Amino acid sequence: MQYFSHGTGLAIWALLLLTGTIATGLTFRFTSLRDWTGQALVPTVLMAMGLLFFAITFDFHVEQAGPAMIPRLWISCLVVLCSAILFFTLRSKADKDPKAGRIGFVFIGIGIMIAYFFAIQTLGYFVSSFIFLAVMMYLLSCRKPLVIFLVSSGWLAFSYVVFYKLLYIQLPLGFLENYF
Amino acid sequence: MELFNSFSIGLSVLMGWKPIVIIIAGVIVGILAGAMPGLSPSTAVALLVPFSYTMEPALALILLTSIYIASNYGGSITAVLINTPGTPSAAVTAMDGYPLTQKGQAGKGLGTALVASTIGGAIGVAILILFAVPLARIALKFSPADYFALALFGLATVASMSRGNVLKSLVAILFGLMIKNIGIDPISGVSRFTFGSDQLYDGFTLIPALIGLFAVSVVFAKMEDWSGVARVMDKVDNKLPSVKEFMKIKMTILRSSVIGTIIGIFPGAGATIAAFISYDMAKRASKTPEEFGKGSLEGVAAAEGANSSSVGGALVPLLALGIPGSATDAVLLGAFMLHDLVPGPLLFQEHPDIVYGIFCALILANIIMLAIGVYGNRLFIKVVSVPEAIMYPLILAIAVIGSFAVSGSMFDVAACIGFGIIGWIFKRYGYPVAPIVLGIVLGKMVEENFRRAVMMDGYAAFFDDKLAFTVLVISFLSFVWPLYKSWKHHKARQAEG
Repeated sequence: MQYFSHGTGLAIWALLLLTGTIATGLTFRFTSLRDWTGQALVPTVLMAMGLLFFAITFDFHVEQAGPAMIPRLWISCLVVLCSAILFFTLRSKADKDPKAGRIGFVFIGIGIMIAYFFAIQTLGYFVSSFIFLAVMMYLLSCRKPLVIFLVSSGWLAFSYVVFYKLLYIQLPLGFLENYF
Repeated sequence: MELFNSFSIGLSVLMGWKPIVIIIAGVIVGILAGAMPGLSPSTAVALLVPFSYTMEPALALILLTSIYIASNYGGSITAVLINTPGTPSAAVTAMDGYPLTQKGQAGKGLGTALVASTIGGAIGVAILILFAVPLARIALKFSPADYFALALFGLATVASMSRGNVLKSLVAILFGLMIKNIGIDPISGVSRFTFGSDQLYDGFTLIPALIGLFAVSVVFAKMEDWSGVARVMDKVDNKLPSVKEFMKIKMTILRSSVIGTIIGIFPGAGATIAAFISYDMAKRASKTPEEFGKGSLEGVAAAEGANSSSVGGALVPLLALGIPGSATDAVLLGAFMLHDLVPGPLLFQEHPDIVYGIFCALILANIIMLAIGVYGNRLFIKVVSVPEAIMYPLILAIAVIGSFAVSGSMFDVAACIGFGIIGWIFKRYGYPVAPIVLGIVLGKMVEENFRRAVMMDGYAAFFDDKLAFTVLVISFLSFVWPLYKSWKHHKARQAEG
């Protein structure tokens, strides 16, 4: 197992686990089990993550009550319980996947959050926050430009006074660095 | 005499205008956060932690505990007015509160909820003081094996008392525990699961993870169910119950408050279970049980007395042992850590000003909540009516700046977003999020004490120590019993076909 704990061995192990996870997902998705795809994927991903971490523990030095002991204990329990969830999902088919709501809407929201994260580092906190708030409010069907403007600029004023001036948080300023 | 001296230290923390303003602000924010459906007390406290981090530790913790205690009353506002509980425990309040609104007695429903919350909160704090102080003294003699057993017991009860699938709750706890293993091993100094990243050497910073799991995930979940329909609420003033009505409900409030506090002490039980049990007991003890569910003041009083008093109960294990009893307590524990404080018996010896300052502040917060609740209802309703299209982007903005503020790191912001996505996926598939947080928070305590006990006395440490052994047996049963019940339930369902 030592071989799989680092370097190429670990990469191969990770690839195997990824393949297994994708295979499980596809098996559920394209068979009569499609309504349980999500319910099966969550424990599978957790198991894969656990098994990846388990392999890494072989890189830790061995001693009584050493650094590998507790992670191995948690991972073993996690793998057993996730297997049990998978087993019950397959056998009793109790919990179907929840009905997909506006899932695309959530993905757009997550995408905007990620874009906001990168924008903070390039445009700076204040400019990117204004754009983020305006875009999110518009996305959530707020169609009043004045309200959008007032809320976004109100938040900027608040965060400037409270975080920048009172709490001395060094917010990223981006291209505005020279003006502050 | 010693208690009196300690309280005088606590009172000295509250001297001056600053602490009073902080308590008032905490109560207002708590009521508002509690009143907003989707925002739980833990979300509110998590979002506010970054605002408190440059404050003096005592004041910061006073702010956060004031929010905590007031948010339970806040939950009743929307429960009574629009049958939408602001907090999970307020679902019980809605059972009789909303029928009161339908009868045109919304003000009375809110007034009763306020009085019951105030008395319940005060009784909870009184019992907190009575229990926590002696418990902390006893806890000074605890060995690492005892601490390990107690922390495990905390995790076990969280799993066993969680609603829904027990297996999924256990998986959530283990996921949290596994996340806590990331970083430098506290005992041997070995780097674990960091994948060579410097930023992971200390593991994930707690507060951004909490904000992600509690606040960001809620917004994502709300976006999935987005309908765009705005809440409409009538503006109603609180109407306190008359003396005659109060005399009728006083025993209900008292009983519910005691039950709520005791249930709150058990990790994982929390305000919702306390409210349900108290409601049921109030119905059994009532001379007019037929009115329950149709607008009974006793029903509202039972639910609110219990959920507010459970706050005091839940603070007992947190302050005396350092074991959080609920999700909000886990966030509070994070706030303690942010200020380099470790809750537990030593806190009573080393920082009596903070412990007794919190006790005194909680008593004062209840009184302030009564005053603000009577006169501030119209304002709260106005604020709570803010469209979700404005509120949710603002929550995300607070989450981002709050995560960044903790250590000025964009990595924490990324972690917050990542945990937000994980929290949303977990919730979507029926995995509770609070056990993840408790796993993250208790992970270090469990691991360090387990390994210390083994290094000192070998595995015999857990058998020779009577307390540790007893608690471990109870913990084991707490893990196994719900699994057995779940299996039996499953069998019965199969037999039914």
